[in-house]
Amino acid sequence: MLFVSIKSLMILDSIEKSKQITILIFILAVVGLIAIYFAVINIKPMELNIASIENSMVDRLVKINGTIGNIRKSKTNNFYWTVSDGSNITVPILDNKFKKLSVKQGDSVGIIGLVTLYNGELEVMPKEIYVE
Amino acid sequence: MWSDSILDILFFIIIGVALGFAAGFIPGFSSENLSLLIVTYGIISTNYYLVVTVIAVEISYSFFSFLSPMIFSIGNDATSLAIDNAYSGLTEDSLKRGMEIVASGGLVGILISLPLLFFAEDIYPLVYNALRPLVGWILLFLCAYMVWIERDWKRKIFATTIFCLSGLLGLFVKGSGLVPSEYLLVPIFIGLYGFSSLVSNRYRESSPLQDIALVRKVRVAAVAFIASVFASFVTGMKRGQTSALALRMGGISKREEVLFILSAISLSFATLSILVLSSVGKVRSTLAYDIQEIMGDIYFSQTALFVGTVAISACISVCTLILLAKPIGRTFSKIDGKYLKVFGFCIGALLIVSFTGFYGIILAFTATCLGTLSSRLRVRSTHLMGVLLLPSIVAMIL
Repeated sequence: MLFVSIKSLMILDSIEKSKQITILIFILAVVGLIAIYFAVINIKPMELNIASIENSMVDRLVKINGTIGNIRKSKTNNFYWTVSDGSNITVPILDNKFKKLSVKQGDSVGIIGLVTLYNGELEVMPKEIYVE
Repeated sequence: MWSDSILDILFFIIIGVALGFAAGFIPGFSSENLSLLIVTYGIISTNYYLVVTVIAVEISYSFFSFLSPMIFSIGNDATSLAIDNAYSGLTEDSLKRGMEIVASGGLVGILISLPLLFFAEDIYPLVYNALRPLVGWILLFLCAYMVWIERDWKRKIFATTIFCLSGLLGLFVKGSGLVPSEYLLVPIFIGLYGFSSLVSNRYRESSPLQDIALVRKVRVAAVAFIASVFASFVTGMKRGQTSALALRMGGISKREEVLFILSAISLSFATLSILVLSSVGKVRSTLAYDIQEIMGDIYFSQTALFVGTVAISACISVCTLILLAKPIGRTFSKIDGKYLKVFGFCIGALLIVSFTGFYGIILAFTATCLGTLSSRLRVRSTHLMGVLLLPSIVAMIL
């Protein structure tokens, strides 16, 4: 009887410990997510002229200002803006929230986005767009 | 001249198969990591040979990736379901039988996908464009369904939590510039499916695997075919979800059949992703991504060459699996898996630090916690794919 009681207590204890470990892992996962969130929002974009964007800046967050020189629509319903401040760069508009923006050729825009390389050409993939 | 290039292609296919075979043994390592290394460091300078090697790596890895879960109970997004459902810690004979089932399943997966080569150019763009506006909702429905089929309410809540937390991770880091985008999935996947398996030891004794009757094989192959074709139209749906859905819809629960269908779907998924890339121009797998990165625009005429590479790689991989089934079974039933787990951990850590630096460590740590949590709460590891699915759903619906 005593043996069974001790055994049951030991099982209960191990279940309790197992629960505590699971809760601890859950907390660690949430803490990790919060740390990642703050790391992401604290990445400050570099304000640059388009001409100074080069291949070594791929995946860097940058801010550019310029005017929309050309708007091209693809077969798959994506838009490609050519933004110019003297030099040109392509800004692919793939995100639905940016597709809803009403912009036209000649509008001044500020764009915060990641520098990407597509088919050997540098582009700025927008995260935020300000129409001025 | 022609025979020279065929010999060269064969040479690179064999190299790719050998690399895929080696990667299959390393717990926590994946073909994506390997292909990334090959592509990044420009080990092979000719684009076409590079593509051939990458395809061979992916196809052979799709076969050999079942070695790690079979021997060490450590899987990736597709094979971790095998640990949940099929087997782990097998004996020498079962290990041999398991490898034979994987070989036949994989071969069937490729065979059922090949006939689509003749229709893909006409049918795929048509169906793909028709489904495009609905894909976000289809994905959302599938994710909800995967949660719904968890056993009880407690697990449904746990599964939703895991899916949402993984999804938040994906939403935070996607396009954030925190780590280079081409390496973003390295720490996340190593954490979710590699390190978490190393931490939570899911090793358990299992009974020997049996042969599958021919009628059952045909039925399972049909289910694999329907699931793979469906998945190839739905952007964002990965091998793990496809397999979990096929198991549920096809009422497949026998361990041997689970192993067979996982292998069939894995190979079918890889083959169909090449067809989708060439017919619609859409990337549906890491293999397709690599091909597009290397070759740029793909023309449908090139598909036959790529699919040929798939077929040859599969044949070599199957022969290797069957030939080595017995010695591998004998050797690994004796070795203490602890040492290889440590080795797998070191490889993973090295990849994370060298490609993604400090932030990669935080990503891997969080992903490991999420992977371990899903294992401890006993919910399907496919919910972890929220990391890719939730950002896709948000982008498609909103």
